[in-house]
Amino acid sequence: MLKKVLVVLFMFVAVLSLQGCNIKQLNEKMIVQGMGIDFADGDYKVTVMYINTHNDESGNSHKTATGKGRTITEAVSDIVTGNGLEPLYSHNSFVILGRSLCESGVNEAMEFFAGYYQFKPSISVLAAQDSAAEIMKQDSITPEVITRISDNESTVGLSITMPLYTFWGDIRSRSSSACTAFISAEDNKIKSNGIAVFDGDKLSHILSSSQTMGVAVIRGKTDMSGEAIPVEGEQKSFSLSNINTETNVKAENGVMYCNIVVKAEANMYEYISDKKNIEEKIEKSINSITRDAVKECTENGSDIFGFGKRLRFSDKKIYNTVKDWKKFIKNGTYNISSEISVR
Amino acid sequence: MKTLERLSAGQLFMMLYISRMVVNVTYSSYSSDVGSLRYGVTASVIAMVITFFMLVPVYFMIRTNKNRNVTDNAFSVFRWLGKAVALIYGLYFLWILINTISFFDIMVKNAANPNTSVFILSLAVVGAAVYAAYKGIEALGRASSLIFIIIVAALIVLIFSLIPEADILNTEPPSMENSTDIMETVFNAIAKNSCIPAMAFLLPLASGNLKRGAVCWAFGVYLSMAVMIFMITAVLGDYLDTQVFPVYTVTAIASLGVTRRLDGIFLGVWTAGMFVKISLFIYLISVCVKRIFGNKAAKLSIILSGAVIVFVSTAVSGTNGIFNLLFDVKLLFIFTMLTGVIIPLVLGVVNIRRKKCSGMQI
Repeated sequence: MLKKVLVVLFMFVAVLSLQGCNIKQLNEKMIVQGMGIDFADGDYKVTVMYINTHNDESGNSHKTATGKGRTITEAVSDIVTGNGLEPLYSHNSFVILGRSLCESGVNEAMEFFAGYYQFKPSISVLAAQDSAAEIMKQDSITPEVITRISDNESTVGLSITMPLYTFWGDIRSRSSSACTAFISAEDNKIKSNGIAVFDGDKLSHILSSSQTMGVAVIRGKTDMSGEAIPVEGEQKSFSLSNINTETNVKAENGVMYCNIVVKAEANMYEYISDKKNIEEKIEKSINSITRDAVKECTENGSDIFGFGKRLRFSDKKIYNTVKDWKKFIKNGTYNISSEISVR
Repeated sequence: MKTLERLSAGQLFMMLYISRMVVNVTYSSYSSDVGSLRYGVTASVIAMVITFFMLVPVYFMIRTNKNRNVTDNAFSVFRWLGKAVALIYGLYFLWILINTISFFDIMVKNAANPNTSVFILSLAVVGAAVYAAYKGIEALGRASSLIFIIIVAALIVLIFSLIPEADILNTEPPSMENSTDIMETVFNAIAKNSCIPAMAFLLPLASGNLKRGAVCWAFGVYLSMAVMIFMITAVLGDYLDTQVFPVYTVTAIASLGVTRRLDGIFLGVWTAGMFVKISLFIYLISVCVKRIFGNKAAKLSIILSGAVIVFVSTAVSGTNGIFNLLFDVKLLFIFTMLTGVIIPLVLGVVNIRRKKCSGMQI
């Protein structure tokens, strides 16, 4: 009997005290859904997008607030001082890095997101063409819009968005270069303008939309079934599916040799009579966009294709001897070809 | 407590598998260089082979003395010195428990929620474990069977949910080139083989094919460890170097369809595993106390051990000096080898010599 009484008492105490709820109510919290970081004159400017938990006239599902400080924490404190809400970052799904921050170095900002326990390592990182605040404050911008970019829905253009752990891992990597989607806000709409490539933690160069396509084909991890690629010299276009790119990397006498073969199936949008002729032309188109992408990156000493990691896999001894990766990438030889079959 | 407790070999080794996996998931930069996890797959294979050899002295000791546990054997061989052996094992198990729960508290506080009261958390887990230890080894064995299924299911879900995020290029190809890092990981793994000293008490209580069970246990533990390390390095890549608790980080990345942030679920599963380990080792401490002070003291020691673990583990997180001592892997290695290999080997050899001298057949 005593045991039953104790069990019931324990259940009563557990229900009352062990739910894990905070004292603050939901409308006293700033449930952050996205953050934009800019940097100017030694100060961080943080723009936070959070859920609107108040029943106000605007009817918007979210609000934005901006704060400034010497560190990101200080900037967020500036926001909290203004609206009196306790920040909750666990629902944060993206962070937009402003152009000014990208050019001055993103390491400190990344340390904040990687180190604070509430942030998921899988939040999407994007780079802004101008200021992150400008994008965050557009009326049409919602977390769903940013998620569509991150998930590469073709309605907003092809993009390659990195999660935080991949982005910062590549910044810290010896051989790889970090990259992520490069976006802008035009006419109250978000547009994907290619890929921002970093040298260390600073912005190095931007790849155009067609070069982005080349990167996507070589990396093979992007769904391109919705992208229309023009056939050179023809009034026809196609899309690619079942992309399987084989990349072999080796090094001899201090020079890296990369052989890239793109294998895919092409789906034509128009009627074709000469399949073989079209396949050759498609291969020419694919070779053109992929070579352009590789050339733009390697001339800047950037490796966003994992050439260095592949060399580590195939010949670790030589990999360990390379001191200047930028120079090693620039001096490499890259041979790209494709094998396309038309469905 | 009953004197003729029995559990099956399966229940025993499921308990020991859970006890070992709880240690693996709290791998952190507090005890070793997280970056050396890159060589963890190679290290797991080497550590598994070494563990097979470490199992031999314990099995040899038990088979050469009528299936009595190590303290009973020590008492029959060395008389009063047998109490010293019981004291060594008791203190070792207490140290392991403080080490284990301190790591778990630090993981929850640093990675999950800094606002958590580690004292309340420790009290809740240890309180339940004290009750389970008091109920005895049979009850623990039955509970472990259920928790084992949950833990294995959680591991399988974790691995399959991480496969889309994994990139084999993030891993290091297996080689002996980074032998220092590999040996450091092996050293860490062997130092944490507290289940082998535990077997010196538990094997006599189990019925069934113990040899097969021990081999399956070692193989299962290190296979799970190798697969987990492979997935962690394949997913995190160079981000691994920035993480204090990399296993917790990958659970935060894991997702199943629209279900994200599975770290909360895994934390619950691990807590269940912690419960098994803590209750098992508190039970073992009581067996040691029983050998030194008798039955009544053994029952009291269950509650006292729980209290000591809660207070010391709470204090550890706030004091660097004790922290460094309790988490010293070299010291842990010495005591694991002493309790898991040296003492059983000495006792086994003495057993055989005594039998030869008395003309008895083994």
